[in-house]
Amino acid sequence: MPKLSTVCEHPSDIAWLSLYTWDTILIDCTWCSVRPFVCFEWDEPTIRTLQSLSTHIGIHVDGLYTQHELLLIQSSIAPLIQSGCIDTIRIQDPGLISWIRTLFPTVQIHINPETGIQNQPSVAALVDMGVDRLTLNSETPFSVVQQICAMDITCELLVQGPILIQYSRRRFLSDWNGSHVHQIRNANDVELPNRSFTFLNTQFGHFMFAHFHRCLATVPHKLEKVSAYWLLDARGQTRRYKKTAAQMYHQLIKNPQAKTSDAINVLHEDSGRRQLPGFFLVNHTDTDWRNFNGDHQKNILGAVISVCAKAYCVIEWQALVQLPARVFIRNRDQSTHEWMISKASTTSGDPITIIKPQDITVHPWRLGIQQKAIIQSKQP
Amino acid sequence: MKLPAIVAPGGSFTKATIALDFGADSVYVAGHQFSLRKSADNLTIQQLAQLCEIAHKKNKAVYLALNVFPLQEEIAALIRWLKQVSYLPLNALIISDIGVCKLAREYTNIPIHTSTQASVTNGHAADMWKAMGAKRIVLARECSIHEARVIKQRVGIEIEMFIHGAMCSSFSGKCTISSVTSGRDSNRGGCVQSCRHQYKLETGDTLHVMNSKDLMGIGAIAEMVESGIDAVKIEGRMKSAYYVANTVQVIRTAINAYQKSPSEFHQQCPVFEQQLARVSNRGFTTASLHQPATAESISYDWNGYQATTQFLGIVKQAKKNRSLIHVRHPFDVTDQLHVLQPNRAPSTVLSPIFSTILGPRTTNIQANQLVWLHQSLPVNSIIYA
Repeated sequence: MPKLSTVCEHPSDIAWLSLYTWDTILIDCTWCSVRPFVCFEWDEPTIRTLQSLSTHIGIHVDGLYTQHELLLIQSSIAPLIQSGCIDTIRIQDPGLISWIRTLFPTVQIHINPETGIQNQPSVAALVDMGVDRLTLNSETPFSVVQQICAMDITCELLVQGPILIQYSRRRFLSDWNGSHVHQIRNANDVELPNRSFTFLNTQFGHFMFAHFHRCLATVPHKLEKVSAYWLLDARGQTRRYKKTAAQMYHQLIKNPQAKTSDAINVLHEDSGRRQLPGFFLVNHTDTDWRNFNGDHQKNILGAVISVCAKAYCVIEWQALVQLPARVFIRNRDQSTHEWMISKASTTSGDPITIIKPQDITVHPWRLGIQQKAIIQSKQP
Repeated sequence: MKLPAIVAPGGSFTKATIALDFGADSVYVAGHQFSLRKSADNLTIQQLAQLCEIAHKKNKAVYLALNVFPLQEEIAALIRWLKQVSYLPLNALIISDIGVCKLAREYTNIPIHTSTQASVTNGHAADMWKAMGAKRIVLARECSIHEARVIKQRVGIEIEMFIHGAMCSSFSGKCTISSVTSGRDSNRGGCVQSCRHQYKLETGDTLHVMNSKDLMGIGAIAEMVESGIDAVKIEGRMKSAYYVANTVQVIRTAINAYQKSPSEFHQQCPVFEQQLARVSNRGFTTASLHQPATAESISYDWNGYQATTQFLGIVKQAKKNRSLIHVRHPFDVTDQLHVLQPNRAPSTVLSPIFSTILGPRTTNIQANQLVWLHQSLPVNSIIYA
């Protein structure tokens, strides 16, 4: 049965948190957590009030820090860990794994989604380094999620909440207008209208969130297919959103067939964002990769660098070719032609039969040969 | 005085050879897969082998970018690619994914450089990559030169820093805006740079809120040398041959000038900056080289690229009294034409007389034509106006 973790932004969240049991409750501290929507200075007694609600209490140390910043973070976090009120650290920078293991050997280390792990060799490397949990990034396709969740590491899925799509060290809003602009809830790309992004500026930088929320309650059949912990990260959302989401996912844990449409409507209404599964389908890139794995880049002899219609075409070669030679031309529109090259001239007009790499040859113009066509030795 | 090596972009075979001719100590290139500039011409296996031969004859280096974050279903193809390139005498693989690093060590003996995409900003991350076998770290562009010095002293690894070129608005490798907005994966070669668009905010403002200016760090060469930076990197595998030639030559000249006389170097810096600015750019900033980058590093009200010159063509062949030009932009023979040649100051074209490749004189010079200029110039010289 999956276990649910979440983020407590402020002690006022404890009231609804206490209605459920949690695996991990995470907090943000302004001196180390890079993207809190709420600035609250947690202290040890306040953190301890969370301990009865959750198996683990964790802290986001989720930035890309300088050496100097890490020294400050170390001195601030050490008392909390040594007192035992924090037992989990969630990081983005895998370089901090050994730092934490050295300083705080008993603490659990979780990798957060922004680390961007999306293949098994990377997961294996993290396991070797001693990571305890991996929260998968939201742009990983579901097929890859399944493959990674089958490995020998505790995985976690963001099931609900805003999706971070950009992290910059520069504070674009705050530095621009000189004030401490914290959040813009609706920023629209002029070239891609009708999509409202959220911008957040903190002392650690600028964060941009997608125009929709991750909501895996829309695809409960997928949740059943993976063995993973669930993360509800509703930072920046209304209390009603958080309570509704908590109730919905706890119900789904008990009953995967539970009705969720009303709850999802509340989430949509409160956030102003569509609730989508959000396994990014980068269709164009995936198509490009699939097309690459064909023969398009094999057996290349050269490229057409100049065409003068009804006059000539010029080829720059990258392989040794002896004429006569049967070659295949693949144009940029993917049309192909077979060509028996019986003769060629150098750029000085001299005949040439043995063509070397980097040679440039001139040929009579042929119908169907386009600028930047690729010359191949085998039928593409 | 140990000077930093210049690492220049080779977006195609021609651009890579141009970079080497104009003074780069090494070039970074990519094959047709597994790098982040999918739309660059990139190099075939045989071109990689040829480039290695050319570079090594000049005592220079070739680095192959493998800096994507591959999905699991791409791993099999990646392993095939690693096996193919393992036979090449490459000087390094540039890698950002820890899983790719693991596989590269398993399937090749090629040294590893950690890409800026890995966003290394502190000594602990550098330690991790060193333990994984990296010989050099290309630091995140958010690192200052001082921070780079601290990392180098602490970790004892080669450090490379960007000195010139376009910059991401976010930490490299930590942006998926393009994935969300256009279905093109920022971290697998498909970035469409949506960050540079105008955004309309609920405050009523409409601005290019994340449009980063280009980095120009030539004025920081002195500090980089004194900090022991091992290499300076020029961004731009998608940029023109003219950009590559001009940038490499100016930075080479600047480093040589610093070596000769640090005080004179500082006096010459404004000239170097002017020379770098003649090629199309988005305005310049030193970004985070000295202090964390601020609003000054963003072109909020961007009006288009700036340039004082126009790239016209490349010399492809050199004969006794003529040079074969591959024309990239149409021009008029009465325009004042200039030449950028390796190891020489820019000059003007003395006799702008052109013939077509078939022989007859011509004054109608169109893009993509090959024309003879009746003046002998070295191969890879750049013609501009």
